Amino acid sequence: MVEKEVTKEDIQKRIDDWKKRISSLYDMISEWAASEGMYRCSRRPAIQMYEELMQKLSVHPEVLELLDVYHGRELVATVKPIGLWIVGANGRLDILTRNGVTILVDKAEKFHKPRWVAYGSTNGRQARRFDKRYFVRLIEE
Amino acid sequence: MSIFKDLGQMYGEINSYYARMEFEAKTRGWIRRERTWARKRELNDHAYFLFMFTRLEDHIREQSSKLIVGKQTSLSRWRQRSAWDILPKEKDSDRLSFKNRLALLVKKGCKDYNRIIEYYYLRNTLGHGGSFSSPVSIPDVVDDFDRIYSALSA
Repeated sequence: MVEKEVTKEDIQKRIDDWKKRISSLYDMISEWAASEGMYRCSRRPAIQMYEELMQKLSVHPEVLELLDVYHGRELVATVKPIGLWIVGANGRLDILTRNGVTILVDKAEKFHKPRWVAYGSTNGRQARRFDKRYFVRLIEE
Repeated sequence: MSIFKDLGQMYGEINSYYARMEFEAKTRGWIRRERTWARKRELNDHAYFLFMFTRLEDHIREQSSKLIVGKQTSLSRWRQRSAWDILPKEKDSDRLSFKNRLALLVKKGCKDYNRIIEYYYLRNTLGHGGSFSSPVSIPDVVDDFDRIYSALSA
């Protein structure tokens, strides 16, 4: 959002970092899902990323992956990136289920190890640490 | 409950409903409907953000106006009062910009000041018919606005 003297290269570095963090998050979720048995994950490029700063500095749009989580043949959750440049956070993804949505934000500083925090539909929007226990409860609801 | 928590609760209910519809459309393979619900969620984010920002902006105008009036009436020495005398008393006056009003209340460059300015830019982008490609996290907005509102009231 408010970034002074930002170059095209800076923007590309942030995008590359965002893609890496998304990929690591999907790896982690896939491991959690697999360890519960009967769950499997599949990812595919589906979301176009073309945020304000990218447009302003003529950086090409990117395509980001989303992650689908299945229980047997039934789709139980979809994780989709919403945006990188969020005021107060270093990116946002949403986890959609039949019960609603969990907003996932990275509260770490730029280029630091991610610190994923979840705001659920049913917990009064209190911030919770996003961990395996949280995720498993989400897909088993 | 604060105004921001109230609005955040309402936002959450609507966002959750739209998300359920989006997810259902996806499970049924209704791609166009899925996109429509996703777009509704995005616009709902922006609408609630703009609504909440107007509340915070009004509070900043109110508090800065109170401060100006307080200084204009309490300072007896002209030398101390003269700088305050040229500032507008009225909270709706545009003779004093939003950023300058904020700088009267919060130290320029501090974390809260910078955060509000970031939100102010987002508000301008959305409010002035920007490309609507700027995402926002409403739970974070609620936390930030609630904290800042209380700090400015102190």
